[in-house]
Amino acid sequence: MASTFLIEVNKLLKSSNEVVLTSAGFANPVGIQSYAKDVINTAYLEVCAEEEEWPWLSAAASNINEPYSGNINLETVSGQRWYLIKTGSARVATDYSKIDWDSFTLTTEGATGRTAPFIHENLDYISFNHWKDKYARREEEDAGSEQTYGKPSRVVESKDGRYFGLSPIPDSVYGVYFEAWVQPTQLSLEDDVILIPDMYLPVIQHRARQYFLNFKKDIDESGQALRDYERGLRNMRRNLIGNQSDYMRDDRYTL
Amino acid sequence: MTQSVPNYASCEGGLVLNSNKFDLLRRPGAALKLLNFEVSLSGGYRRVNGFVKFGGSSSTQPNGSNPVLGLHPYALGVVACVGTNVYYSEDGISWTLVNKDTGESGDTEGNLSALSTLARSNAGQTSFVLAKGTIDHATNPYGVLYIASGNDSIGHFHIDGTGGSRTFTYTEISTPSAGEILEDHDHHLCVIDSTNAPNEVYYSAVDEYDDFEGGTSGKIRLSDVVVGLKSFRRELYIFCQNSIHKLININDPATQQIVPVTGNLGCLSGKSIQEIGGDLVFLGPDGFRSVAATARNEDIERSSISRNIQPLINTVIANKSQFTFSSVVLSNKSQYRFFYVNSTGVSKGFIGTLKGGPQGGSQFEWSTVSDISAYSINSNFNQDEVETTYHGGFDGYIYLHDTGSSFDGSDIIAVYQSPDTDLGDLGLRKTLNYLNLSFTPEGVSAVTLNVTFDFNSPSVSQPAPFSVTIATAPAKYNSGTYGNSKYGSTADPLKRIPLHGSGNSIAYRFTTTDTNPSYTIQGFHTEIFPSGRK
Repeated sequence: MASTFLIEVNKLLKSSNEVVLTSAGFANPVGIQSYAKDVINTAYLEVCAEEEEWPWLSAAASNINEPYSGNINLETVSGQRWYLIKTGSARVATDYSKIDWDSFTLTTEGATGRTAPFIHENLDYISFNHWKDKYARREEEDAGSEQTYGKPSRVVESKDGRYFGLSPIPDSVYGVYFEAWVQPTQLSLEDDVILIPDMYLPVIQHRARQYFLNFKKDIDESGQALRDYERGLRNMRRNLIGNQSDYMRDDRYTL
Repeated sequence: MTQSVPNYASCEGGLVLNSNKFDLLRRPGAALKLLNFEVSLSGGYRRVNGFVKFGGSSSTQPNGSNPVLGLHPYALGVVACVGTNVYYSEDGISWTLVNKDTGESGDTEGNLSALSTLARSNAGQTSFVLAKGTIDHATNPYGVLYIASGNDSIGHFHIDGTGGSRTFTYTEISTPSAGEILEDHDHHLCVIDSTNAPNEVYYSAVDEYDDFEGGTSGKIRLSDVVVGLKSFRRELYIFCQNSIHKLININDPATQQIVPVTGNLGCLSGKSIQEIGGDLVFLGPDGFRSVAATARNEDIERSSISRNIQPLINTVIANKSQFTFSSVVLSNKSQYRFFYVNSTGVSKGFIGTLKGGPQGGSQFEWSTVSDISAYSINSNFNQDEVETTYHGGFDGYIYLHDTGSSFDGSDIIAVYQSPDTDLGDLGLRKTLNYLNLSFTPEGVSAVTLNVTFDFNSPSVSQPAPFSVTIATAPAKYNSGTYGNSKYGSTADPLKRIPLHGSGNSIAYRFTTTDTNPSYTIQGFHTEIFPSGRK
């Protein structure tokens, strides 16, 4: 059973011999109970911030039943280069926290108006400067004068990180798939679920205890809590982050 | 956590309501609330005993639900004044109306009902004097009970003999024509007729308590209204509304005189006057006082013996017209008990226990009581020389006072609340670890412990109550019983109570609401973790 904000706050309070919170009093705690809520939230956000690709922050379940990858997809528009990575997001604070630029794939399967035979192709990532230097001018000329577009083969990240661009500019409707991770949401309500697997919940507690005990000027125990946190975090990284690459990309030059 | 730090508090000092919270930070054993507890002579705070009906479950009211105006242990039972009559009972079940016109020769109990009643039509709170060894009744082991209750003649009642042939005698004294206050002083019966001569003190002839016209009888007149009399050593203290005097040398007309004790303050109620600890205690306009201290210091506040409960006393004094007062001294507990009952029967009171002080000498330590409806109360030693105390209820029943572990079957609500203590440093946050409660059980009890922090500040999360079961009283040789007593237990065990919560100051509140046996809280030891200054 997933843990909740209330459960984690009360774990911290119990471990420090403090009065626990009730559901009724959770919204407006006072004194050190209010501080306990704050440090659980801080600890949770800090654990999330340690790695952007924590599984529980995945934007959606990976699409494992199709040959193209990605848990996010959108359709291109003929003649449109730039697309907001997170549809509907108005600012950076609500964008995805992480995009796997190596995961972009292009397909016509499932795209509006497209029929078999379908294509499935990777979109190669190129940096904005690379694209600017090598492709931008020619593609703009094509688009401006002759309305000549093509099947995208590259994906470009905008300078502000909020858009991806396709190169060449799409000449039709395609489906674009990629992997994304959301930003963690601050815990607020008593029943807000903490998405971290149960076996790693102590890591949050260790971090929170470090702050809590420091508040109480229990420096020795606070230091021990920090060490426990760091050890727990190492374990989380080792167990949850798949870093087993089969090759490494060298994008210092393009042939 | 960091190493815990111990702190100790011994329960002593009783209620202290006249100190500011900072003074009390260093007196954790004092009490801000001590309801239905008494300060124990052997240390700590003991939950009071209860009361039971005289006559048990078969008891009856002498005169319906009329409040008991006065009562006095007499002979083998109790005399009670209720309504306009006087009753006698030895079992609390069957009451004999005794204010019958028996004449001086008296009559047997069986014949009393046929005699005419000498009704006490104006009866109010009653005053008694039990006189033994007077000239006309020198051989009567029970003595004569004189009864005064307001604007009625003084009653004279006695029982002579034993068994079915014993006689009951009830007569009325014609002079003075009425009496409200009686006192036995140096072979004289002293009387105040508050209705007809409130400034005068009548005294009877020597050892002839019915004779107020003989050669050694007399009267004295004061310039103030008398509210109470008390014989103390060889002097008769006369408590007036605004002054106190003493009559000295009552048996020597040549040297007899009225000596002023104080002309600056008086007594609020004659029913408050009691002798305890070699002094007289009474309710003055500013609280309870002792005569000795008042005589030394007259009207200054230092003479008050109830400064520690002054806020409560002030409330009683400000509303004194609404209350009926009664008081008694329990000698074996060195206690002065004062009760006040309002017109609907709601009863509260104070218990002052005279204890040896840390600097030598004695001082009163106070607690409060509630729901002991002592409209009247009296104490005396029975034939076995055991002090027996009865109180008369607003409901018309007679009760054995300070008996049992319930208020006539109802729960006793007992609360002891300590002041906030900072354990030596108010700036330091303390996280509670546990509390060792030192107590003396008299049976199994379940205590609820409330811990509050920072003067019960709403800015601090206060823990939920902790339940504490107090163990069975230890088995003692020749008294313990199988299944009821605990083998191998100490008389004053320590009960460890895990606690939680933190704050800069800590207060404890112990509550019981039950009919379980009494217990004494001796003190407590607290272990805390120092937790910074944020």
